[in-house]
Amino acid sequence: MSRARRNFSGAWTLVLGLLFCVSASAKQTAAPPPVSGDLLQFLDGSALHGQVTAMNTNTGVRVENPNVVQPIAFKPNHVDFIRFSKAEALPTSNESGNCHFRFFNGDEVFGVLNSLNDQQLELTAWFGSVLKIPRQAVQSITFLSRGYRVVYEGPTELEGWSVSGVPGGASNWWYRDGSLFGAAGTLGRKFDLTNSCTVEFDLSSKATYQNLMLSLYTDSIDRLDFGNDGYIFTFSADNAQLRRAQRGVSPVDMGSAVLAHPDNKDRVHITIHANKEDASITLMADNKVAKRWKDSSGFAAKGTGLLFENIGGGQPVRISNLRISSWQGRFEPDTNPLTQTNADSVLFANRDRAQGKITAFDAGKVSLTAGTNNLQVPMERVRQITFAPTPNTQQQRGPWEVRAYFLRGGMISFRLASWDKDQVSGESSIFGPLSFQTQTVREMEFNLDKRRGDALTAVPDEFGGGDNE
Amino acid sequence: MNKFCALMLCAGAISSCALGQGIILRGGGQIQVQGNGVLIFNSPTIVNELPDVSVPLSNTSDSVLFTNGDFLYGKLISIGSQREIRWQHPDSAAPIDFKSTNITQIDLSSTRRSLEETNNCKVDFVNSDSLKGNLISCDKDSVVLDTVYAGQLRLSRAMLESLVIVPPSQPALFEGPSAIEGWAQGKSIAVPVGDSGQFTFRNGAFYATKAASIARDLHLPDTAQIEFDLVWKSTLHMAIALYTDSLQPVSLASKETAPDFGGFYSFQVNSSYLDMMPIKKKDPLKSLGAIAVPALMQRNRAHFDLRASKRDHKLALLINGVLVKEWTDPDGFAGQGTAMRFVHQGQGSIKLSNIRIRPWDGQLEQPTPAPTHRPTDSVRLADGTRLNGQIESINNGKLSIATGNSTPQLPISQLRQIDFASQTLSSAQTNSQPVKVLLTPGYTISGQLETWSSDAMTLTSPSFGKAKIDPKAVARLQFTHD
Repeated sequence: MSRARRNFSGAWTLVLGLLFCVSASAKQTAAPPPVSGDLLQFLDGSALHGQVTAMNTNTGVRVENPNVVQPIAFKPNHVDFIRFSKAEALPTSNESGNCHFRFFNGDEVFGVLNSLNDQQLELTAWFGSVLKIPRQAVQSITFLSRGYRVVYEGPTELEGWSVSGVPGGASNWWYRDGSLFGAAGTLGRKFDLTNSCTVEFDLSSKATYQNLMLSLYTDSIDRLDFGNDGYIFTFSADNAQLRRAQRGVSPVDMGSAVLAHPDNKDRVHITIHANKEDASITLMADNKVAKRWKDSSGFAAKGTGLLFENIGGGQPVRISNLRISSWQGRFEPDTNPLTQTNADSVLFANRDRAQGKITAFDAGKVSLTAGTNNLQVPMERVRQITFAPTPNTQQQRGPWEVRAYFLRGGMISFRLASWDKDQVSGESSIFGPLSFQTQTVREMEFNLDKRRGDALTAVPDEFGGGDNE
Repeated sequence: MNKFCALMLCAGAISSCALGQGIILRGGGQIQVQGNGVLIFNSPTIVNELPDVSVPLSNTSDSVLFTNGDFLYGKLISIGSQREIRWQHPDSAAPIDFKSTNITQIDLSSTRRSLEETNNCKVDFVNSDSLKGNLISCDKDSVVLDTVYAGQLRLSRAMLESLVIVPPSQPALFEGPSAIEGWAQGKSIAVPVGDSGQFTFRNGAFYATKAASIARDLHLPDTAQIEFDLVWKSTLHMAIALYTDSLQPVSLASKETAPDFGGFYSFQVNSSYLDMMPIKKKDPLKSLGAIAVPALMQRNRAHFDLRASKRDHKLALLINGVLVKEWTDPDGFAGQGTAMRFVHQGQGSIKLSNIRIRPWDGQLEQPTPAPTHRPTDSVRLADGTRLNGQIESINNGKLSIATGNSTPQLPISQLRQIDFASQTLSSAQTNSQPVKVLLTPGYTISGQLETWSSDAMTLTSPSFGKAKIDPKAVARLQFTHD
């Protein structure tokens, strides 16, 4: 998720700037001209939509575009990423992934831990394959909450969402290149949220005040309804208010939290953990806890959907990198970025951390040697295992070393050999030869070793890309 | 309350919102602030439109922008007679042929531009085009302008709105910034919200993302032209002190207890509202007249051009070349120093660049009346005299104008401005043109683009017919689509 967030620049700056300009002069902001097809984003900030028809090391990236007479073949040397317009998640079962595996090369996979020793990790990935990986390549294993599954990751299109604008007005929410933009009105969807859930998204706005309401566990997906049993957030520039909605009674104000919003930053990463068993709602801004509310009346939620409403008076907001996961149990899933330690470490369920040398995994226990102490920790008490980095011997990666991002399934880097409408094939330094269905990839990143910050200087934004990061 | 605080008060050298002064909104557009002073704004000037004078950023590549927001860098090779566009992208071995249907704009690399300008005349057309060149002659049908980019152009008088003689530029007394050295950062910025910071310098510009002040004695002359460019992100909220003797910011809310300072003008710049305030110790706060500029809300950059005359107690403001306000201080010229101070009030981010100070001749270009108020030609001379009539010719250094009873011959050296009589135009002259060409620096012509190559661009304009234009003068091509 972090990589995709970094790309909020270039064309996005242009689009949001355009929207802001328009919104300043009109109460209702109209959607910009629609785009269709895959997005080819270059490192210099330029971008082109079209249909990627083939990729291989001989012909380059072949793109068809309605504005060009002949298809274009681009060398990959300055391609940042391609975001595919259509991606489909492979079916997953509830048992398919209770672990989040991170690797030192930046890859991430969800799956089940089969075995682990000094030499090798074996896992069953969410897509069904059994993978054997050298232990030195493993950066961390995070044990997710019971029944954890990603129920939505996107957006990838507006289809499936219910949009309601101002009566008589045009649609005031629209989709573009991995983001949902809203100028007014509501955007809702049912997600079958019957358990605890975690909702994460990036919220951006060029407006000084970004007034967005979010109704959690609602059954009303075409209007904001305080009569639903659920929770309703109201986000403004540096503040979030939570209200408990309940059928037949007035909404209950549960209080507000301050959102850190330094340096006029116009984007914040929101994480909400709705913990059914604990009857609590935790709000995080940019991966830091802003507030944890305990509902003394018990968990109110009875609906299954989610609804956004922009009440910002026509100033558009942008929602991107939306991920909704469902889970059970008392402990929220740890979705924060990894804290790398120099030694092996074990993070316990109570958030304590022990550092040392992990020596064995046996009989449902992990052995950690710290000085003269040898800890035998039952796996059910472990939330995360982090391994010390090994000396980096990675070679400089060429432009055809790509990273594929799977819908609801992590990311894998490999040397791309060929890509067509049916199949992608290549070779990974840790997984070996691999191939997979093209439709499972939502995004492919190129030039993995090139610093994006350098490219941003070429972006036509006076302030270096617009993110203030 | 807060909104009006932001508009009216915070734009002082330092905000006085924190004092909680009451604000009373009255009928008739007056706003009164009770407290240590009184501000009254009567029927402020409203500026709804400003021309776009933005020039493409200095890029080493050309760029093409599509209607859906896509854009690519590369090099424009040619545009054919059917408007097919041939483009070279650095990562494509073969040139790319674009259909122009969905192309909205092409920016040309600054490395292409290399023409020297020695123009003395600016011409505005009724269709909002404008050109620069040297005035050669005029008859009843046309004006001949000699341009460095297209040779002599015969301009249809029916299409002309005005012609202004541009006095030779005075050498700049200051141009910058080129470094942060020599500037005084504000030691203490009292802001009601957020933190204070400092201006930073990079690539010829000052940047501020938090409340900050930077000042310098720029030795402002008694009659001055003060120019600068502002780019802002989110909210624009600045105060600029003119003719001050203090390099440290002054809080308007507590100016009476501040260290002694000489009088100055506080030019207050907000996203949609501007004001000029004379600031003196022991004098109540007052406004010389506010300006509502909704047009600023529709953009994030502007070129500010302030003119000041101590002798006449006058100040004037042009934004993007348009005169938006003249102020006369009834109490005499308040400024007692020669320094300037730029104070960013902390909301949003700003970029400040291209500060230029020049002596000024005290003459302002006068706005051209609306067409219905231009039954005849009108000539303004250097001494302010206006003559109305029919311009018969300009030739051999003389302007001949029939005023009814006489046809005086005036030396062209006395000419400052001509407002041409409005004429009935044909539909061919009033039709929207498919291409607008932005010339450097900031002049535009529109017409039908016939062809473009690296050597020449052929354009047919309703104002001057077909002309070959040197592409080195072109900064941007804008395509309009039905």
